[in-house]
Amino acid sequence: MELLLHYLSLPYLLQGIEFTLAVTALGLGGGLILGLVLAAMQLSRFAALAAFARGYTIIFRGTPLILQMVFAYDALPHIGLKLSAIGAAGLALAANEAPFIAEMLRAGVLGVDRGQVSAGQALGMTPSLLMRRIIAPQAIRTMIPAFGNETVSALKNSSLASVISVQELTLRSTQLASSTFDFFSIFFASGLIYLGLTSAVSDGLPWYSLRYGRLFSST
Amino acid sequence: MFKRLFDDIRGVRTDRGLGGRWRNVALGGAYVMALGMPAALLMPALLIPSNAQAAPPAACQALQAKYPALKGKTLVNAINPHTPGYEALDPKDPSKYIGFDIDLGEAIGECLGFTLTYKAVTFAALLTTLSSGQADIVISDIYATEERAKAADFITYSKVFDGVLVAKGNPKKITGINTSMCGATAAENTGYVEVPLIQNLAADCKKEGKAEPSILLFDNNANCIQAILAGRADTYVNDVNTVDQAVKAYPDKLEKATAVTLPYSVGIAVPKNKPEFRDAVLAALIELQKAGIETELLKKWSLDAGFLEEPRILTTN
Repeated sequence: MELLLHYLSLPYLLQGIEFTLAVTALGLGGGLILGLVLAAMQLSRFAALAAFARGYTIIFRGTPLILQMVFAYDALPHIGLKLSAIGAAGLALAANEAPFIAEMLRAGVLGVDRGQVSAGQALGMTPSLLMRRIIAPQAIRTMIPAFGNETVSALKNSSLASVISVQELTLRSTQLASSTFDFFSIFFASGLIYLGLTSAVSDGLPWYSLRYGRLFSST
Repeated sequence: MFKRLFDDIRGVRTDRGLGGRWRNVALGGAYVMALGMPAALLMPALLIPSNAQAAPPAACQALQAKYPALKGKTLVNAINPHTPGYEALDPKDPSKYIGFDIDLGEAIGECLGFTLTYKAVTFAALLTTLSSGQADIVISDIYATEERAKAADFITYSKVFDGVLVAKGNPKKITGINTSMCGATAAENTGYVEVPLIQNLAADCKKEGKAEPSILLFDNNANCIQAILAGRADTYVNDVNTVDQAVKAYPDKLEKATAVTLPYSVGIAVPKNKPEFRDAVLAALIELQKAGIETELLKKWSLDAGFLEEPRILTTN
């Protein structure tokens, strides 16, 4: 118990959280941008764009994240693109998250009642105004729970960055266990830290959902 | 970076009216991407300094004059820091790596005028990290073989003696990499030279009418040792000093069955396209050995000093 508390408060492990959050933030932020582009392509009238988005999805949803990370870190330098470890991890996680986020966005937009879009059009709203005032507020509200799930999964997936030398929580835990032989206490402590992080995300989001849900419904 | 990032998001949530809320969240996101991405992409390898012990020999001055390009440089050393004695975190101060290899690297650096930072990777990724340019040198108790020399040049400095780690009492009566391993399960690291040696026993085992040995592959020493402790594996064959350290850590549960000689040398790996750097490391290593510094370091880390050999280069085309 004493050992567990020692490791739970050990600055070396706690600093690993920063790297875990950095990789997660890069993955989600990049994934959101890429996902927006992909969703727009999927919803586009141009068949070539939709086909490209489908091709991208097949590749990045169909290959393991660990392989994508190693590829970004060890293979890309062979074609002249040398990223830092955290950059490679963020890129791979973003590329991997993008198809899932795109699907969330697409489903959210398509889930808005068709009649409301028609009503907006009848009132003479431009497509961008329609998106801002009618579609986005409702779609975003329905997407928040799914985005919460995606955040939790990105946070856990960031642990794979340990294989490409990102000094995040998992890599720090394994190294520490190797030098101290305190396997049980260290992995238990890092498990609790992960649990704290994922709980903060998943408990925080329903609150957001309620708050924004109420705010949007009042407009 | 994080403080500013969170301050910004907090500002978005509390200060603005509803109309601008999502626009500002989007702006916050763009801020994260604009500031976070490049900063993270440019973030250098984690700096973990360590202290080399002995003063560099006088001949190092001449080497620094001969290889001026290395002076003042900061190079990246890829390590698999799961081997106490060679390279592992300092249990007393986990922000530092310590061990023989760490001291040896720092001593070479001191001799040639460069400093080292460390990149922790799996054993199998040591040479790929080097050849992709993500590291400049590998000093991580790696055995120099002809096969590995296709991926990197090696400067060797020590003979290889392996120990056979088994559970206390050696229940399977394993006596080395021989038919006593038939039917047993060995834990090894992915990419270890011992893996094909154990796999090659299959034919001999078959001749004796025994089952062939099976191998569990892991990423680091610690996992292999744990596999024996958990009863998943019967043996782990690796560098004799690593085996001794494991026995020291678990004297009631583990023992060294025997030691075997393998026809390899331990080496420092450097990229194939940098022959000058390779020659500089070789020259520095020769000086360190001559000055007795390597022996001193081996003694400091309680590693057997009898294994030293004259440094030489292993390279293939």
